[in-house]
Amino acid sequence: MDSHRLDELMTAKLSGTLDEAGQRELTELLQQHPEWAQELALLEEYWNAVPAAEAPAAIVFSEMMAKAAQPAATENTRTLHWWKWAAAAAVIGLLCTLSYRLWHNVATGREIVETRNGERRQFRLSDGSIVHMNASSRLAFDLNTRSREIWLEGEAYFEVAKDAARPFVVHAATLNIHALGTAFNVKAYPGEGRCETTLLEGAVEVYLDKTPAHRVRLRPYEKVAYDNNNAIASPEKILEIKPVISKTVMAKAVALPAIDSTVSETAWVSNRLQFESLNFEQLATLLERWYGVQITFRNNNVKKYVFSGSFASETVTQALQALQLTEEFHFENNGTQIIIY
Amino acid sequence: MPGIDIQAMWDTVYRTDDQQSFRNLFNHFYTGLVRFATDLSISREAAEEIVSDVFVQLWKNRKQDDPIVHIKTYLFTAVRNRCYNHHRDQYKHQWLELEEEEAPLTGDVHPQLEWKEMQLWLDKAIGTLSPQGRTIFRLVREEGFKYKEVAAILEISPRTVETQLVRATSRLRQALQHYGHGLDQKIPAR
Repeated sequence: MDSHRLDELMTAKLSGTLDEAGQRELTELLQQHPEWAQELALLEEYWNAVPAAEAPAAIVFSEMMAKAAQPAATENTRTLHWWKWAAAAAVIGLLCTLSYRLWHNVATGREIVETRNGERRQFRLSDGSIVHMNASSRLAFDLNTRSREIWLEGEAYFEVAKDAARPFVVHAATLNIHALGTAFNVKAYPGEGRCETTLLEGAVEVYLDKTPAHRVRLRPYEKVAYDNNNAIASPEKILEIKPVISKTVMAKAVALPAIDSTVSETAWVSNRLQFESLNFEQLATLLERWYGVQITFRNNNVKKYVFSGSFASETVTQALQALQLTEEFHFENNGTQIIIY
Repeated sequence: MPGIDIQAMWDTVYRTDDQQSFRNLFNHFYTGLVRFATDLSISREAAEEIVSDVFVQLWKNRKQDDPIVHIKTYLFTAVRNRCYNHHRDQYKHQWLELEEEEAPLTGDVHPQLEWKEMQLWLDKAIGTLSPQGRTIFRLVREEGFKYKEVAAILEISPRTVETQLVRATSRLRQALQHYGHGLDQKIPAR
């Protein structure tokens, strides 16, 4: 095997320029050589873990603007009549009012980012925190000098830049997650009646809108799920902590990367769709979001099939074909519409 | 960074003179641009000044007749041009014309290393690439530029971009293999 060809394929894979034929070639190679697959997995992890660039100190911007404000033209030394001064003062006053209004609107306005079905995004906030957004999600954020607040509908993974002076708070449905320098996942799709957060690194405190005093503190690899239907139970019961990986796995794992692909809650961040014991109907919802397709069932028995597994670079057709290996069903794919029977 | 709509932010600056959007734009790109300039073998101080000057010009000329269509590419290209001018004035040479030299990769490796340490080890491997290779790698990985965009910014061929990236991957794999075996060895330069 030509090692240069492998480098080429891996490079294309990493930079997202691999075409279908290349993907097939690579998959085949990796199946024959699991050690290369392991290398590629580590390189992908590395590739995606771009260090957060810190925003410069505020003074850097001020100094630059001061430079920009220096007049280029020579001063006009003509004397002005008093009424011209008065007119100028009035205009300046008006401008100040206008710009204050504009500024005020801009300052209080939240910035909004949205993803469609089948779309995932990664970006950096102005404080240096990194956000990975899963499909069909909506994020509003307000970063100011005192706080960093995020409103989430859908699912996102946060790598929070440390800034003790400005708490980082995520509001999702009625759940609030309060973080200081940490990495965690929040899932709160409207209509699912369930909201959950999983901590990978650092520490977060979770509390409900109506019981802000009752805070649950999570340790890494724990998650808390809040069920809307359960809303009358005591906070202790509602915010029940569950480990997401077994203790033995944790003990063995010497080197857990920041985005841990063994945890299914955050596999999507590494572009993997991972699921455990979901019935086909639930899985269809995930597939719809992931691939940006619509799935309808024509056979109710099929809905009850239960699947576990993960997909990475597969197309939706390949994914369904893989599912056909475990359970018997048929499907038709008309591009964005898929019928399962 | 595909998430925040940078272009929309610039359009706001362009249309409404909004300083806060301009500040966001500045904060968003500053560190990356300074790093890019230092990659073009400029001192940290000079790099900071160059990036600052690019933003000064951007603010002063925001009312130009031709709106900037792709603000991100514009910024990197502007920084690159100024870096080249800086070299021309200071040393009368350009690094892209230098023979590529890759340093050997050295360092202690322990058999059981944490993820963070492995990341550092791989960063180090990237650090041993030629200045051009390193710059290209970072523009693609950290700034998310496409091959063609990198080629346009650095005024080289897309083929060179690809070749350099493949070389970087090869470097990283060598580094991984040494790392995995916990060897305290040099990675030979090719």
